[in-house]
Amino acid sequence: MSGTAFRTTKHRLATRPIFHKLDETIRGQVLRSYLALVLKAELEARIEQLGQKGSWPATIADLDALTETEIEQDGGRSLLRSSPKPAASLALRADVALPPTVQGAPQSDCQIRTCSAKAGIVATRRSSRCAASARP
Amino acid sequence: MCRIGPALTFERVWVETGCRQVIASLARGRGHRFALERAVFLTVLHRLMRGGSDLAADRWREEYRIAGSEQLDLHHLYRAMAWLGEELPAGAGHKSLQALSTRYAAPWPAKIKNKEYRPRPTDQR
Repeated sequence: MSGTAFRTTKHRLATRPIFHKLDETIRGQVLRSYLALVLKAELEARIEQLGQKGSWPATIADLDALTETEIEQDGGRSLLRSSPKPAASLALRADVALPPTVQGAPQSDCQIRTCSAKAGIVATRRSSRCAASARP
Repeated sequence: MCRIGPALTFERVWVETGCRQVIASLARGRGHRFALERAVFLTVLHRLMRGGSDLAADRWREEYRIAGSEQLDLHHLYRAMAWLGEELPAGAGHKSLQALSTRYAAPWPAKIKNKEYRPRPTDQR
């Protein structure tokens, strides 16, 4: 089991040297890795319970690709969610329900300003940080 | 555009494994003036998705929607890491780890149970 944990930490979680000055931040770093392993193992176990086997790198990459974009059209603002890729679908099926594909946008939401002239859609990014607009 | 997948997925696992409750309850008594549990969750999520320093985590989260992390700054992440690694008096062990281990004995319980884990000869040395 310790061998598996070591391989997971070195390979799948891609451990690399991080320099700390203080002992407590080194210990904090170790505990953080432990917590990450707990979450990873739990999600993998849930996927297994569905009778599926997911590749961890694919799961991470596909979850990372799941986005939500704020769009403005006809004076209204909405959040448009991208469709999940296969590995993300599996992880989400094991865990949570996805938000709807389109939903009304709350006041203090995110970000980028991109335009699509063809679709007549304007997506607005108000700052460089998600929900940074909520900061004082 | 915000990336929502990682927080959406792991937030629930964080809650259901008891990690959130343990961290939050331990943090409550310390009177930190920021969301310590959110700072820990943010850094754990970064550890899972990308890995790296607290500075890297602070930059990484700019594209992500992570509930409750809006008010956090880099120095909060540093303080959260220092808090996680605080040393207790000799013999007392690590409080966070102790509390977590009572709830979640090992990171691989379900897997081991499902696969009827048997140590290989090399493990028995």
